[in-house]
Amino acid sequence: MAYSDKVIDHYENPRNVGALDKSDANVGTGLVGAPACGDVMRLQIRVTDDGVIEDAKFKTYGCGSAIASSSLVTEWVKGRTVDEALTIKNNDIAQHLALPPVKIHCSVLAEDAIRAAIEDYKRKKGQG
Amino acid sequence: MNCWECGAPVAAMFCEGCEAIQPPDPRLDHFARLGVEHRFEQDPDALAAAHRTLQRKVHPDRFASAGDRPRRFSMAQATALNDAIRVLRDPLRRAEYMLHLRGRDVGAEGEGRVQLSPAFLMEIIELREAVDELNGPDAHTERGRMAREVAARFEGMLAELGRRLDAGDDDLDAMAQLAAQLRYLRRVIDELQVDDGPGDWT
Repeated sequence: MAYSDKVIDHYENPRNVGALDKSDANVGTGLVGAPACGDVMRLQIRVTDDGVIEDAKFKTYGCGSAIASSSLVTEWVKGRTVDEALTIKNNDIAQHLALPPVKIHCSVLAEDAIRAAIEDYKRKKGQG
Repeated sequence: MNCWECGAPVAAMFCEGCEAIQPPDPRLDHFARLGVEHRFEQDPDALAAAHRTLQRKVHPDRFASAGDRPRRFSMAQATALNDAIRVLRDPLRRAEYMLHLRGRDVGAEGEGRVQLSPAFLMEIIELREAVDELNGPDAHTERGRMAREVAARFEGMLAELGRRLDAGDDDLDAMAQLAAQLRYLRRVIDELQVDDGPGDWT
């Protein structure tokens, strides 16, 4: 199966790999896994007091599509408000990366990860 | 089913009347196909022996000069037997198969996806990060230590899953969770093994 250039680019030069301090009250951490392929994804956001995502980091153990999906999402959420970030859909990710049908679940995982991170952030802020 | 050759009713790989080889019975699951008990606990040697004995009977070499149908059926029987042993000889796959027969697919995507707890996923990420960070003069020893540790945990959880399956536990969700966690642990073990060359602890 051939990966698209965009997938390869994110795979070879992943953006925002790393970790944020998960005990920070402004940091939300999302952890999701796909037992089907054994992928695991951690996506974190740091939110300003005005509700804008100022930083995002990820760590993904999985295939190229999973890494690219999470890398892309960290790029997309930066500078958006939490509510705007919630509008990111797996279809957008899959389309942007030209994922083949068998890899759609990787984009679903990335969408789940950002949702989980935002839920965690809201829970911490007592909005959840 | 009836024998394709003589029309007598058949319930085995060969017709009792005319001894013609039959196509694989689609109603048989992997356990029934190998003639072993439907349970997790299996003697690996007995499993291998059951497969070997049956495989010998239907081996395509024996039907090389037979007609077109017996040749095709022997091939299909041999394939079905190989499919069965491939799943059953691996304890985790065997456990997953037993869950599958009860309608629970550990590898399901979408709606039926097995949800893993964030705590477990965090542990897996941390384990894999720890594996990534192994370097320096003691890396080899440390890798071996980690591999043994994770393998011991894997074996313990697998034994628990097996016990629950054999006890007829009805909590399919909990058992699917266990199986999914085992998939992740196996990944970590594989990771440690790749870097370490073949290990002797599996």
